Amino acid sequence: MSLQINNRFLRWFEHRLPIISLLDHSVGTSYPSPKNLSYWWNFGSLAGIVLVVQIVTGIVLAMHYTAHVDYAFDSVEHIMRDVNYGWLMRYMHANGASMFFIVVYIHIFRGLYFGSYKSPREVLWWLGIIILLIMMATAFMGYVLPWGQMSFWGATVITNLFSAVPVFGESIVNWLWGGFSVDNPTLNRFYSLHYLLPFVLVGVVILHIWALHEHKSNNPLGIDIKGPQDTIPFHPYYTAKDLFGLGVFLIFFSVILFFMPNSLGEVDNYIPANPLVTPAHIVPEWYFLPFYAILRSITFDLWFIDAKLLGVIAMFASILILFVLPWLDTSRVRSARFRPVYKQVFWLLFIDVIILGIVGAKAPSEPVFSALRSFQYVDLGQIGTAYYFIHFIVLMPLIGWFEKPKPLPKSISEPVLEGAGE
Amino acid sequence: MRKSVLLFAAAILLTTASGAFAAGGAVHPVQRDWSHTGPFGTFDRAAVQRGFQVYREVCAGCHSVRLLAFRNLQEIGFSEDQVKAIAKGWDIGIPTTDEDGESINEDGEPITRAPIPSDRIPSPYANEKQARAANNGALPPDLSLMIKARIDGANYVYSLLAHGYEDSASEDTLKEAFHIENTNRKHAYEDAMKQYDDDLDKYQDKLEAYQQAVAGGRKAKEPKKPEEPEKPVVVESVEDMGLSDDMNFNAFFGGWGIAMAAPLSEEAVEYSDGTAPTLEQHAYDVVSFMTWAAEPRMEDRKRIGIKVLIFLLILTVLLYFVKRKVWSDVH
Repeated sequence: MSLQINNRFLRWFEHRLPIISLLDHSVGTSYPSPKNLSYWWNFGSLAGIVLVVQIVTGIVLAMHYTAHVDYAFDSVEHIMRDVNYGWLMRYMHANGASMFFIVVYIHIFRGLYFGSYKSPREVLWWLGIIILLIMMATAFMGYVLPWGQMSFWGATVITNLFSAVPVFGESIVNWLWGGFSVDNPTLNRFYSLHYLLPFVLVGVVILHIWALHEHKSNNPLGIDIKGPQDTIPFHPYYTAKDLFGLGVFLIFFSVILFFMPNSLGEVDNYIPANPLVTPAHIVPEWYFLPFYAILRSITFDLWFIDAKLLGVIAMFASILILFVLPWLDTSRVRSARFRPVYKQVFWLLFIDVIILGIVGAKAPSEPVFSALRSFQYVDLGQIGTAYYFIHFIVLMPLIGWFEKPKPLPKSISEPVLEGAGE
Repeated sequence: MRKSVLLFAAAILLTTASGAFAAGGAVHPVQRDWSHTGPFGTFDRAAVQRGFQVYREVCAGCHSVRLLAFRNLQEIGFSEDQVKAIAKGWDIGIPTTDEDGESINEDGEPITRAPIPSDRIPSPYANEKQARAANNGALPPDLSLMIKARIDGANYVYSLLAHGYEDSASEDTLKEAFHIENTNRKHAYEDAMKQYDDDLDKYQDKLEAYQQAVAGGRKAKEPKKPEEPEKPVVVESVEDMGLSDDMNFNAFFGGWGIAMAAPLSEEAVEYSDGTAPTLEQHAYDVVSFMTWAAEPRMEDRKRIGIKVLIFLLILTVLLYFVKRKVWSDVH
């Protein structure tokens, strides 16, 4: 299907800058998509929309925010109280971060379930992981800006992780801080980077979409597009579907935003930062909890590596391992629909991550069950962490070798199995 | 399979949540009905106004509400003139300078003027040191965001004020507090005993090594015998809690000891609207005031939220039918 431009001015413009056809090839009638995408494929475009919401609300907030240790907390309260609709901007931005992670985590698990990381989409997958890493850095630095207790102590704990680096650790941490503790220089550079990184994110998102368009979306059957009979144009089919999904998502977002805007945050962050008072439990935002659990579950030295460094390595490795997932997964079948064993293991990984999230929120020495006091959250975290890595390093290669996949359909347009019911 | 997996996850969530419940040194707050809760909840203006009176007459002696300006009081139903009068009559002035630009008078005291509505409500102490000096070393926290800065803030502060101190706590509350403390002490004792047993084993080994060294005529340091942990006192009264003299027992305060003596009591404040001045009423009113102070835009938020949700629900239904129509030739 090629684009017909009827308006004379647009035709004139298109001749000089073919941006209309670019859009048409990206999200228009000229972009063929598999015809069988389920609602799990809505979350990519949703993530893009949330990124725009974050940038727009963030720019407005930046007009009223003061990045200084003496004024940051009060300037946020000034936004909440005195700026017209400031409360709306601020709650939208703070909860928007949570929404971004909810949407992106679903997007990632979708990719894991349907094998979207496999050939020829490895680079697309890599770019996605880079997006996740930039998101995490941006969210972490954004959380520091209100300069509440959890902002300050979260920043202190996380920047201190770099002190685990042998020899240069302390120098690195002082360099990050711009001083000898988390202080005004730290706040200022975090603000600067928090403003910069989202635009870097936009750049990587464009690369992500570029890579996507090269081989088109994966689909619930996980088989390649064989011809035009397998596809439909992105517009109007998926624009309509994405818009409906956006409506559902906005309802969910609005319920949180307008009726429970503080439910995802820590109450301690409504106390101004105080370097002399350490909160009883320093916990990151919910979207970091599984990684925080992995970090804290390493309580033992290994050979010459001490526990702290090992924890940091494990935490980073838990994300970086995703880069090699396309090669750790030895199965040629993409979709878990046709992989009876992997399907089960996928859900076990999902539960494992939820459990790690719960562990991350608890004090390590707290007993998991009141009846069995010797079994503490740190123990559960160690089991969860071990399983997380076993999943990727042991189970993924083994299942690919030993699993007998179900027969694949011939094509997307005729999902009738030969010898079905065997 | 998927179902059983999800059920398993739910079971884990439930057991861990309930396991965590009993931990920590404080009783779970009493749950009250508030007019400000729920999607349609609004501030009870009369209660917020009475609460401001409680704040002014009782709390303001020690606690600031530094994020509130006098003009904000118009939002809870005070008239412009009333606000002017409240500002003008405030005990503490705003630091200023005289016509010569001096900020202190001949006696070295800071020069102040009466507040006006656009001023923030002045804090009772000039700085943290002064606040601590006046309060036995304790720092009375600012109350502007108190309700948002505590878990289950409104119920927590209400419980602390009305049902937490020894004289106002119910028998059940005290029993629960003692039970929690006894459980914690028992666990701490068990942990200490386990440690003691380990230490004792280590001590035995060291002792043998020491005796051999002595028998062999070598020099050695005699190991120290570990001390057996003391059995904890069973708490049956507030006294058994063992709080220091400058601390007051409160069942809802983490660690049981709070520096603030019970601030409210029956008839602590005389209401002009005829509301019965009970302790619970005072606590309810001042918490209503603090809830408003913590988020004065809450009513706007909910009102707009309802409109947004109605709009989105209709839009989403329409979008659903659009999607169906567009896809009708594919399905």
